[in-house]
Formats: sequence, structure tokens, C-alpha cells
Amino acid sequence: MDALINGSIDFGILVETNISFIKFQPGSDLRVVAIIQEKYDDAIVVDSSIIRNALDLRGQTIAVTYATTAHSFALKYLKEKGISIDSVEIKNLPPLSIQAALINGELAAGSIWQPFRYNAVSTNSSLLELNSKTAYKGYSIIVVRDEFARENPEAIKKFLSALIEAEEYLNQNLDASQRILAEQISMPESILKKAWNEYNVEVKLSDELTRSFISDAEWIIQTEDEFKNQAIPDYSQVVDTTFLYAVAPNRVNGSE
Amino acid sequence: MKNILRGVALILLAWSFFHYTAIASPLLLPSPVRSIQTMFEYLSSGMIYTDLVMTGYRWGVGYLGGIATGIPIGLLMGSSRRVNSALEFPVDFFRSLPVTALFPMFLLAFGIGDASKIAMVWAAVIFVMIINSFYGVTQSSPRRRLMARIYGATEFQIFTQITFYEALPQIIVGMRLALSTSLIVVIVSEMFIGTQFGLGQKVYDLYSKNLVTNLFAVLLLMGVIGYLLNKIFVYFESKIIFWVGKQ
Repeated sequence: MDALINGSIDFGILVETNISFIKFQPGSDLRVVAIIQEKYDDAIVVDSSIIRNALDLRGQTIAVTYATTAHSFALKYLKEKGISIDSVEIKNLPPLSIQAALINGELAAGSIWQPFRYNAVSTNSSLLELNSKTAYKGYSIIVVRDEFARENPEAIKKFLSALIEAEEYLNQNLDASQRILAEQISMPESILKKAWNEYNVEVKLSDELTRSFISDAEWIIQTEDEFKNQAIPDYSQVVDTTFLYAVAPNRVNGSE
Repeated sequence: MKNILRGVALILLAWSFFHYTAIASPLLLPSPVRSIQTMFEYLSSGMIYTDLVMTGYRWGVGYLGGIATGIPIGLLMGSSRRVNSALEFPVDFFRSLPVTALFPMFLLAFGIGDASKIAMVWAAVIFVMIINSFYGVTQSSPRRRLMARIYGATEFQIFTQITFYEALPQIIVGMRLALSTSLIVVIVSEMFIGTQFGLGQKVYDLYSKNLVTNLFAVLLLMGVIGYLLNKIFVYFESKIIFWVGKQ
């Protein structure tokens, strides 16, 4: 994010939570030009000897990393399951610490994403994952600066075309793609295949992204002291469909 | 006092220049005026006191623990060739490792609570103290020790009344070096391992939430605390080793 803002890089792959937060600050001149992935890889990993199901989370401490998709997921998961946020204690920890604390039994519950989830569950067999595809969906998004978008529209279109090409290759050559990715991120291919369904790779733009920003902003205002009483930022101009529409109009849905 | 004000003015001038000329994005470098205001808001509202107390506790225990264990080991190494040859390798080996890079080990060994952060501070301090105490002893005057021995002083008397005092200035240098290192380590340990309250965690959270004005307010506060601690240390240093530089 910082590299994008100060112009060290021109394209950034962020998650929607990053944009939800940065728009609270005046002068954040960023545009989302595409969604490249929908992801469901956040889960609350729990110690099954203490927590057997979602309702057992009441009265427990749940570790999250503040201002991340896993934080957003945990709060939305609790809401979906009818559990009041006041009935649990939210503890702020980095993902590596949550992973370590779950493995050695210091924590009963922690909301984390891959590969921390996999690392924890594969090391300690008493850990369970509480997940929900309906509670929360995260997005990986391509973000550029306003200035860059104004000055380099062709570069953005070319980049989006290349991403679409990559998506098509991936769909046509799934095994080869998984092998390449596993090698690039140093993850065993078998594990990558297991987690594959938690991601939906598709270059697109739709109304739901703006709704997701607003939904994030609502929980930020409700749960973060520094944002109390602030108005929901205007996210209507953040998503810029111009470029993707020029390249592949069928991939743009909704009024954005 | 004039020099301090000059230093403050220089920092504020440079900061204002980069902010108000918009050379740096306000999302990365906030207004100095707003940042200073926010720092005073933090202090007057008491919002940051728990973080201050918790960081101070972790730093204090780790720092004092490191001093309490490092000085005797260093003095022993300096006084005994046998102890020195036994401990030289492990001390040189471990002091070469950056303690902040070892945080996963501390996390696994001590868990996510205060113990891991205190242990990291301790580890950052102990080796600085061992080395400086060791050099303090080796640099003490052999003539004075010989003189004391001729006059019938016991080894214990020589150690406590000559060697220790001659090593003290170097020990104090070690304490001062360890002071700034340990402050860095306690902040970094809170950022890496995480905690509910602590200045390092506060910095990390504010950064994650893009609250740069608040972030700079906390950084300013940390700078002021570091400066004051250093000044307090120098004051006591001049009282404890009052003879240094006057011979």
C-alpha cells in the first residue's frame, strides 16, 4: 500500500479491507481496476477439546490480526451464528503468533488465513476449522493511483488483458498452473490442491465490491475506537470500470 | 537548552517542508502540528497509559534481568581464564545473532505472553553487558592489583575494591548501549509477537489502519521517552562514576 501511494510501484494487489481503511483518510487517491480473486480462506481455528461448534465460542478469547480479512471474517462469522461480539473477547495478535499459540495450546480460538491455518491444523491434530462461505467473502484486487490511471490508460488495459490471458491459461491447464504456483510459493502441491476451492480466480468487476467496502466500513466504525462516530467514506468513485470494460465488457457487472 | 531547541526546530522544519510541499504523501507523512496535537491528546486522555506501562514493564524487567545476569558473567570471564575459554564461543556465537530475527524461537519457547518479550529484551541486554563487563575487567590496572596483593589484600578484596571499580566505567558504557538496544527490541518484540497493550503493538495497529497521524504521535512520544531515559541515565552516570574524565 505504501509503495503504491508513494509511487514506487504502479500496480498493487491488495485486499478489500485495505481500501476500506485507507478511504477513511483524506487524499487517498486509489482506484480499483479489477477483482482478480474471490477468497474464502479465512477461518476460525479452534481447539476441539474446548470448542466443538460455533456456539461454544461464547465466553472464549478469539485472536485476530486487527484490520485484516481474518478480523472482518471473525466478526461476520459471529454475527451469522447469532453470537454477540460482547460475549467473546477479541485479542489482537500477528498471524504467526496465533498459529504458534494454537499449536501449543495457549489459545482456544484464532481467526487466520492460509497458510497459517494449514500450518496449525497439520501440526496439532486437536485443532478444528470453523469456516463459512456465506458469512464473508474476501477479494484480491488490482489497485492503481489516480494519477497513474490518468496518464497510463493503455498500460492498465494491457495489464488487465494479460491477467485475463493468465486466467484463461489457468482454467485450461489447471494441473500445470497448480504445479507452477506450488513451486513459486514453496508449498506442497497436494496442499495447494486441497485449498484450491477456497479461491475463485476470475478477472472481473461487480457492484458487490463496493458493498463489501461499505460493509467493512460499518464494522470498522462499530469496533475500532479510533473510527468511532466517523461517517462511512464515499466508496462510489473507488471502483473504476473504464479499463476492464474497454478490454472485456462482459466481465463488468452492475452499475459500476 | 539552546541546542535542544535547535535540534527540535531542525526536525520540525524538515518535517514541515516535506509535508507542506507535498513531496511526501500526507498518507505517509502527516502534518507535524496534527501529530503533536494528537500526542498531547493521547497523554491528556490517558488513552496510551496502559500501553506505556506494559511496554515499560517488559522493558524494565528484561533490561534489569539482562544487567543482573550479564555483569557477573562478564566479570567472571574477565577474572578467570578458565571461565573465559569455556564461555567465549557461546557468548560470541549468540551475540552475533540478531535477537529480533530469533523471535519465532522466543515465541515457541515462551509463548505469546509477556515472558517471550521480556526474554527477547533480556537476550538483547545480557551479551552487551557480558562483553563490556569482560573488557572492563581486562582493562583494569594489573599494577594496582599487584600492589594490593603485596599489601596482603585477599582476592575477594582485590576484586570488590579494585577490579570492579576499574571495570565500572566500561560496565556503564554497556548499560547505556543496552538501554537503546533494549528499547528497540521491546518495541519490535511487541510488533512481531503481538500483545493486547504495548507501544509496539500500538504502532503496528495504527499502521495497519492507516492512521498515520496517530502513528506519528506515538512515534514522537517514543522518541521523547527514549531521549528522557538517556538524559536520566547520563545524569546518574555522572553521579556513579564521577571520577571518570577527571584524572
